[in-house]
Amino acid sequence: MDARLTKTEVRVQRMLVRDGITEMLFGALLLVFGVLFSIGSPLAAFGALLPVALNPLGSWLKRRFVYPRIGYARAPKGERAIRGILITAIAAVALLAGTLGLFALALGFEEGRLLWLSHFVPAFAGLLMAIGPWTIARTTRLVRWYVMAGLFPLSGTLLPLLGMATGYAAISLEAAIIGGLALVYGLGLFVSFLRTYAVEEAGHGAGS
Amino acid sequence: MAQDREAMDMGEALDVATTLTSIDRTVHEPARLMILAVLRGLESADFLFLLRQTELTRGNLSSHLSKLEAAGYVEIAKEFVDKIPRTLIRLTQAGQAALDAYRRDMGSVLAELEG
Repeated sequence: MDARLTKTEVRVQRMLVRDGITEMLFGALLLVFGVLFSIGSPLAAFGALLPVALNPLGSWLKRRFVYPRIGYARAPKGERAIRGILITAIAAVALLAGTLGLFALALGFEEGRLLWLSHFVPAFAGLLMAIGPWTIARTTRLVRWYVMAGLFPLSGTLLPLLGMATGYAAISLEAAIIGGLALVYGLGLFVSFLRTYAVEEAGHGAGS
Repeated sequence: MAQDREAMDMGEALDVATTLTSIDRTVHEPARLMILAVLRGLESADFLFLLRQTELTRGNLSSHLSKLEAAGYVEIAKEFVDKIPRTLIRLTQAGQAALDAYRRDMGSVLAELEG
């Protein structure tokens, strides 16, 4: 999908996230990961597996509550998604290594590494976490996704500067805070969706 | 000078008329245009989704989909999901090309009429 979306295409894309399920699952994922990580639970390592558990839940919610109300639609596949993720990952690692080098050059290795870890890494992690919401915001042009995309780097920058948390603690805190907000907002949207759209009695048949 | 201007205006009018006559009437019908525009942003959609998005009646939507399918602009396939039959509608490459051509042609016609 290119950036020159028509108004109809934007409306259709908005309809695909109208149910709030994406926000709920994204929020739950971040909240659980942030909490487990912040309490230093060994279970945090399994955080990477959370999407595997949440995907079937999302599919079930869609089948049970969404498709009978507004019908089924599949968004276009991101053909270049894997290549994009790979390029982003390589660029992120290169940038992290490069900035660590710059910090070490400017402040000496130990002091530079500590400042890099405590202040730069949380902001950078915020930027990376903002990629998902930003991608959705570009296709739906919904303010809530732009806000979420902006909150990640903002909180990643402010938490260490305000002395509330640094380093990995700041990353887990920003994930937990934004995840909690997204979960609550998604729940609100989901309830509003259920109240707005009634179940279509005649099923999914094409005029049959 | 005035004659040149008049000839130029006649030429432009002929261009507009030529473009207008070449407009694809299958796409030009508002309901079908809406269906194609909705499908353009999707890989596929079912009947109910199109019904909600276009706000057509079931009979109307079904009839327009048949015409679009006959023109080769959409593909209609049935599949079962959790034992429930689902009819999936997809824009074909020919449909995509027809919609793009329509947008281009109508854009130039409207530009001519405004200009």
